[in-house]
Amino acid sequence: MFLEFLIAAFLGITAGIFTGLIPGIHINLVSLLIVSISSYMLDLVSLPFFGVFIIAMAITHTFLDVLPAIFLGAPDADTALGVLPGHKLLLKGMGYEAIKLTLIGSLLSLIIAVLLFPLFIIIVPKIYNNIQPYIGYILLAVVFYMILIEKTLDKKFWASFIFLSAGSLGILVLTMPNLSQPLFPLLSGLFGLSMLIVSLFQKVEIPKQHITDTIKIPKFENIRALTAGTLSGSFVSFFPGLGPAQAAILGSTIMGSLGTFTFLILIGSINTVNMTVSLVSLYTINKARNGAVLAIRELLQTIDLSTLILFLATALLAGGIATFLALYLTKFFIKLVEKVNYSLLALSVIILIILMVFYFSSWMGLLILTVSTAIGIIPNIVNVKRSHSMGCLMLPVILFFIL
Amino acid sequence: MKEKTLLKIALVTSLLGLLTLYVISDNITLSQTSIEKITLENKDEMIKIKGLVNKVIDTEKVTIINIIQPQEITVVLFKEENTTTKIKENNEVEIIGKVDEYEGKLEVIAHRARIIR
Repeated sequence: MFLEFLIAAFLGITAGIFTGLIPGIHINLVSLLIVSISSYMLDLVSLPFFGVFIIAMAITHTFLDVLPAIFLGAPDADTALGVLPGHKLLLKGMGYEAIKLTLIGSLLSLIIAVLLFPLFIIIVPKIYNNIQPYIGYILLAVVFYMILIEKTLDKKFWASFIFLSAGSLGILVLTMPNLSQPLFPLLSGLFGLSMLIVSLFQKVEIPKQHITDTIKIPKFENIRALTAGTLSGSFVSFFPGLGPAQAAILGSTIMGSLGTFTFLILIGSINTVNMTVSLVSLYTINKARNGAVLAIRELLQTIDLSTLILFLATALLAGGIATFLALYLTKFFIKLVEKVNYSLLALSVIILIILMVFYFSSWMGLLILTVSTAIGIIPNIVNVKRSHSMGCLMLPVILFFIL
Repeated sequence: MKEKTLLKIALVTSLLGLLTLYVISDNITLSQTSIEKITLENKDEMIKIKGLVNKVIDTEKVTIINIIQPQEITVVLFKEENTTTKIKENNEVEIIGKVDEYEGKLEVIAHRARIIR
């Protein structure tokens, strides 16, 4: 069995490299594929083999998906809020450090989440039962807070406008029948394409990237970011409709203002914790909170303690290896952005995103991409936080819980 | 945090994961179960059984099959979960499913069904 699981883990890590680096190829897509082919492979491997594969892929994905988000401006839902601070460092020649910060968050919080899993087993059912009725109101309070902290009345207006426009678009897109990959055009427009277009018009030049080791974050700040990441990342993994994006908003709201460096640690931390703790949610309350865990539940129905430990061990193995991979691949991305003219690279990524949106979601996807890009450009023009665009996911979730 | 420190932590983490994977692997088995060994104590457990189909009852939503090994057990396949498998009498099948009890008799609610021949 050990060899079988080891093979599954390495295959999963390989798949995670592809899903993490190629924008639009989401782990949910591969997980669904695995579920559909599993019955044909049961003569060769056992059912937990697929679980190990999916966990290794998902964890590797959470370590690597920041690379296209920061270097190419092509984020997914989990990394959307990390684009801006990451890009800020990229423009200072510190793209490598930006990735390293998210990796610190991912790896350390993975270890913390695994260490805390006995505690999670006890508290997850209690939190789930007690807080679920209030989750919509908690999120609503977070939204009001986010808008109110904008400095002027004018900015408060624009923040509300962006939140509601993105939210309305989100509701439309997420309830649209027969639309494949609805989040891809929505988030690519709001966070990726809009930023790339702005960069093109501002004639952004990516400076020479330095592979340095200079950023020093005080221990207290590190602990603050990791605590916020672990708490919010695990909190949202108990509830339906909530994901790393909402966790990032919750985390940074709870912990007060976080600098660029600590925010990147928070982003890395949340994505990995969210995936790890969602396994505990599957074990304790038998609820699947993301596509990967849903696929595992499809395959195994329920998991026992041994299987949970097997998956957590897989997460540790994949997380450790993914750290090495991410640092190595970042050096490759650096060479890519240095050799290629940035405007040309940005234009190529814009074309790539448009083609992929058309491939996944056809003409309707292109329409969504156009509208979401238009909304995504507004924060740059009126100079408010881009995170208000997260209304595209938050408003549907708030309405789901309140109505 | 220095890159070297990060890589050291990553190395230790993967080795720890590998070691745990090695230790826990032996506890994770879904090996083939003999029908005669299935008892009420196995209720809600996932099992894998192989056997010959000697009876098929097809309804709108479920297919009920009897499997002999030579001991017999009833397997219930919900059609919405098993859309592709068309099981006939005398097929040799492999079923992965959960043990359940219905009207005092043990049965298996199939999660996956595969025709071997």
